[in-house]
Amino acid sequence: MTTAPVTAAAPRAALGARLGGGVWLFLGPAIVLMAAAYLAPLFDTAVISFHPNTPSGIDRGHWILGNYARLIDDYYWSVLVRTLRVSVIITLFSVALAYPVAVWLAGLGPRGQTWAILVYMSPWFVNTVVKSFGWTLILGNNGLINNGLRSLGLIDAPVRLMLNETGIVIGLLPGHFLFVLLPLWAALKGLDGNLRWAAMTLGARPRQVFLRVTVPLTLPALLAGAIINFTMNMAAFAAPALLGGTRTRVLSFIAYQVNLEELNWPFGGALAVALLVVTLGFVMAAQAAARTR
Amino acid sequence: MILLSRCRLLRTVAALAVLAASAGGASAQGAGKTVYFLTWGGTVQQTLENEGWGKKFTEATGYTVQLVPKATGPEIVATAIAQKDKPQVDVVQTDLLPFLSGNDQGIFAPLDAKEIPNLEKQVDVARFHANGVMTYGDVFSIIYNPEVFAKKGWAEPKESWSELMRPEFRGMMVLPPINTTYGLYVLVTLARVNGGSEHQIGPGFEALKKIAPGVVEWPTTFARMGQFLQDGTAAVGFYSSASAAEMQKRGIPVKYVVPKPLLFTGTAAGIMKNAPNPQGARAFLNWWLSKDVMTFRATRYGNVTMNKEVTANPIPVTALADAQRIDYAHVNAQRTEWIKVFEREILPLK
Repeated sequence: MTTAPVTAAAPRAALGARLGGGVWLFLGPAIVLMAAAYLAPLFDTAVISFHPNTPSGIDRGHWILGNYARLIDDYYWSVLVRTLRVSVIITLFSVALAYPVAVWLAGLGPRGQTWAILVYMSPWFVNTVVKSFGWTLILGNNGLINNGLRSLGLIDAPVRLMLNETGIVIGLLPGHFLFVLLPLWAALKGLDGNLRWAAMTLGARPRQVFLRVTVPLTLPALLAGAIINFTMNMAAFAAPALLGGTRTRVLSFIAYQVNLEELNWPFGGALAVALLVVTLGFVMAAQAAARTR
Repeated sequence: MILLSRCRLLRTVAALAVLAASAGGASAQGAGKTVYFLTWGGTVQQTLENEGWGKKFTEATGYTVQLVPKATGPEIVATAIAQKDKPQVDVVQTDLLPFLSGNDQGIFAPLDAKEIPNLEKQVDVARFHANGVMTYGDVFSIIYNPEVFAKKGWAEPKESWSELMRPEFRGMMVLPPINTTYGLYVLVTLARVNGGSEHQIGPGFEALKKIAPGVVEWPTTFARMGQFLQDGTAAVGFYSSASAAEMQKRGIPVKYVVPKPLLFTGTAAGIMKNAPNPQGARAFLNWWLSKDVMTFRATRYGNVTMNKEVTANPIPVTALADAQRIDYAHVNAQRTEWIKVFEREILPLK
C-alpha cells in the first residue's frame, strides 16, 4: 500500500539529487524574479504607506499611521463595501451557474468536452478592454438590449445596464466564471463512478446521491474555484473602470487613481495593502470554514 | 551518467546566463542613440509612429525616438517621478498642471537656449519656467451632438461658459472629473462664471452641485467622452477644442463652440534631471519645438502652437494674451482638498 507514493515521489527526488547544489541554478531565476518583480515592490508599497506625502514627494524621514486612519473615512469605506459586495455577487452567480454546466460537461464525450471548454474559454481570447467596449455596445442607452426593448414597446426610457454595479457584474461574470467551472469539471470527471453506484445500491435516490455523495466530494474543488474567482473579482480593474463608471468605483481603481492621478503614493500604498489584507482575510476565512466543516 | 547530466545542465545554464548578459550589453550600447519620450499615446503616438515624424527626426539628427506612452497627464508625471533617482526617460511632455507638480519634486533640468536654439522662437508665455517650455496649448470648448439638439428642439450653445448651467441638459451631460486636469478647469470655470475664482472656489462647487445630478458620467479621456456623445448617452460635454476637432475627424457627429473669454490649457515639456541621454534629449526637444513639427501639430490636430514662426494655428497665438489663465500653483496646492470635496459631496449626487 505504501509503495505507490514512494515510487511516484522517487523521480522527483532523483532529479533533485542529480542536480545537487545546482538545483538552485534552476530555482534561482524564478525566485529572483518573484523577489524582484513581486515581493520587493509589494514590500516597498507597504513601507511607503507608513510615510507622509508632501508636495515635494514621499517624506521617508517620518513614520505615520495617518494613511491607514484615512481608510476609515466614509468614502473609502463605502468603496471597500461596494468592492466586496460586487465580488461576492459575481462569485455566487459563478458558483450557481458553474455547477450545472460542469455536470453537463463531465457527461459529454472527450471531443464534446474539448469544444465546450473552448467555448467557455473564449472570453479570454479577447482583450479585457476590447471586451468591455464591446459590452458598452450591448448595454448602453442606445445599445442592443435597450434598442431591442424599445422597439418591442416594453420600455420608454432606457434601462441602466452599465455605469453601475450591474455593469461590473455583467462585464466580469463571463470571464471569471471559467475559474469555478474548470476545477469543478476536473473534480467531477475524476469522481469514482462506483461511489455513486454504491450509494444507489444502498437505496439512495438520484437527488440524495447528488447532495450526499457528488456535492461533498466536489466541494473542495468548488471552494478552490470560488476563491480564485473572488480574488480576481477583488483585483479587477479595466472592466469595473469602463462598465462601472466614475460613480461606481472599486478599490483597485481608487488605488490607481490615488497613485497615478493624485500622485499620493503613501495613501495609494495604504489602499493597496488594505485590498490585499481584506482579500487574504476572506480567502483564509473561507478555507477555515471549509476545514471546520 | 548522473555526473554527465549535471555538467551538461550546468553548462546550459551558464551559456544562457552569458547570452542574457551579452543581450543586455547590446541594448545598453544602443541607448546612446535612442531618446525616450514620455508623454501621451493618442495623437503624439500617431504623429511619431504612423505619420512618419519619428523617421524624420532620425533623418534630421541621427537619433531615434522611442515613445513611452501613458493615458493621462498625471500618469505621465507619476511615471517620471517614479524614476526620479535613476531616470530611464529623457524628455517628458504633459499638461502644464501636472508638469508643475513634477517640477516641485525637482525632476526636471534647466533648459538652455544655447543648446536648444528653438526655445528662442517660442512666444514669451511659453517660457513659464527655467525647467520647462510650453510646446502648444488648447482652448476649452463646449462639445455637443447637434442631432440630439435638433431632436429635442434645443437652441445650439452660445459662446458663453454659463451655457453649462442650462437646466435642459440635465441627464445628458458629460464632464471630466475633478481629479483630472481638465476637471479642475471645469471647477475653476464654474467658479468664475458664478462670481468666484480659484481663490474663492465656493461658487464653483455650488454650481457643480446643481449640475452634478444631470451629469450622466465623468469620463477621463476625450475618446470615452466622444463615445458617450456618439451613442446618445450624452449630448453636451466640456473638453479642449483640439480634442473636439479630433472627435469630428474620427467621424463622431459633434460640433463645438469656444466660449469667451478663452480658457487656455497648456502642454509643457522638459528634460529629466540626470537623463540617460541628455544630448539626444536636447536634440529631440529642439526638433519637437521646430516650425515644421509644430506646423504639422497645428494643421493636423488643431493645437495652438507656441512657435512664433507657425502661421497655421487655429487661433493666433497672440489671442492667448487675452485668454484666461489660472493660478496654477494655487490650484496644485488645493487639488487634494478639492478632489476630496468632489468625491464626497458631488460624485454621489444623481
